[in-house]
Amino acid sequence: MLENYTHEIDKIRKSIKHILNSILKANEIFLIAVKKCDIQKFDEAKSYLKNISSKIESIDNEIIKILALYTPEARDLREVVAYFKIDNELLRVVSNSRKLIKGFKDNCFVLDESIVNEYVMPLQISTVRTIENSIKMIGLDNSDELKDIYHAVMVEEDKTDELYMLLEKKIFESLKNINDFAKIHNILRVFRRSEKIADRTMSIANLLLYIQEGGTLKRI
Amino acid sequence: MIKAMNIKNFYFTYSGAENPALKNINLPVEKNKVTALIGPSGCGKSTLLRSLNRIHDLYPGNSYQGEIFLYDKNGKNSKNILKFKKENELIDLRVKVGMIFQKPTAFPMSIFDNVAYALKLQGIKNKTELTDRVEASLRGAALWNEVKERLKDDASMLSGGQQQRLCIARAIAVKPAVMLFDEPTSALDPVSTAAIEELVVELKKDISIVIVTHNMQQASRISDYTAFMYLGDLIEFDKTETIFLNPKEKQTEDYITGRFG
Repeated sequence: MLENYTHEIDKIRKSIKHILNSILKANEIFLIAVKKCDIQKFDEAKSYLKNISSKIESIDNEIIKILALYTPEARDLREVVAYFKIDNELLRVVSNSRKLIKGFKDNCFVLDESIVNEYVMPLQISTVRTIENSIKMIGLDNSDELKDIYHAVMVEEDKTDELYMLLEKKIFESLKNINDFAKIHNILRVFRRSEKIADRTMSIANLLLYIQEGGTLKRI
Repeated sequence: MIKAMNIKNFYFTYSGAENPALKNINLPVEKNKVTALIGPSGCGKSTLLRSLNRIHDLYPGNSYQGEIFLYDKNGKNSKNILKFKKENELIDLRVKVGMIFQKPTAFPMSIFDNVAYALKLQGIKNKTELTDRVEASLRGAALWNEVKERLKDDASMLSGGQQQRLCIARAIAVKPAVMLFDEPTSALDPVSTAAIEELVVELKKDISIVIVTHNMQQASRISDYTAFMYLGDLIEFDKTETIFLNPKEKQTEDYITGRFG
């Protein structure tokens, strides 16, 4: 492929990696904030998600330009298509991260500390790990290494599903007064965001694997 | 925008023809950029390209109207090449504005002599200087590694793609400001085509390039600006990105999407 094309696709690869790193940072700081219900830390976490939507929009336009000018084929085509779809997933991850941070900040003192330590923290740790591992997959050519990291993403994503279910169960068990149901339902919706972030990151990992392995695009 | 050339209100009429083949063409050629001329057969793109180094003058009776300016290195001073009348002015023009044709035109001599030929014509006789400049040109044309062990071999022994790169080496040996490529890859296989395309992108760092191509993907891949021509008119000229993504003229869009031409 031409040097121009290589340069353009590399720019996109770097931009996606940069965005995922910002999302990772936001989720890592959120984890610290959750532990002590630190309002300043919640705001700091949110600051990492600023202007990301417009960055994603510009990546979309760059991808359209690549498709129009370079008509990529085979692996190159898979890579461009995958990044186009990853952009969409990134938007959802960013939106879920924002809602998670804001939602928990507003309901910080509602939950019992033991529930936070036993369920909320591990749930968020697994979510952070899915993001961390999917970043490692970007631009990786070694097929075995790529599959290993992909499996690590899958394991952490599975964990978030289970931890969320346990959290849901635990919270409903602790419900003593039916009048608190709305409050409890609200807080569960917040943590659902963490699980959704892991879901979307799994889709990103899936698309990154598709670049290397080919086959047909599958929706998870 | 620093210009390498600028075409203004340009008309060209072939000998004996009633109507001009090119009508009121206005087109800048930006320095160190690749400008692609696209359009269906007979639209005048090769005619326009050949006007840029007055190669039409090799045949009598053709007529020009308008102005074509060739700028100096800084893009400040310019000369109207249509005013050139003396033979040495035209030779000097073709040194500054080199041309690569569709079919590789290697001379019936050795690889080394093919490149040294133009340099000798320029009066360079010193063997060391000749050798150095031939090597630099062959390197510049991305051919050195393939031919360095057989510089004395007949150039006709090279493949089509290699011969085309040899022609490019010969052209760049005299350090032109502008290079004109007239469908340079239409007779080549995909591997040789890719090599030439990479070379064009590399060459633009030192030379301004105008290329005629029927291959739309080639124009989109390697050019910075694209001009779409139809029946002797320049329909649209813009950044390649704009032409291939958001053309302003319906005719351009129809041509690019394969609806006519």
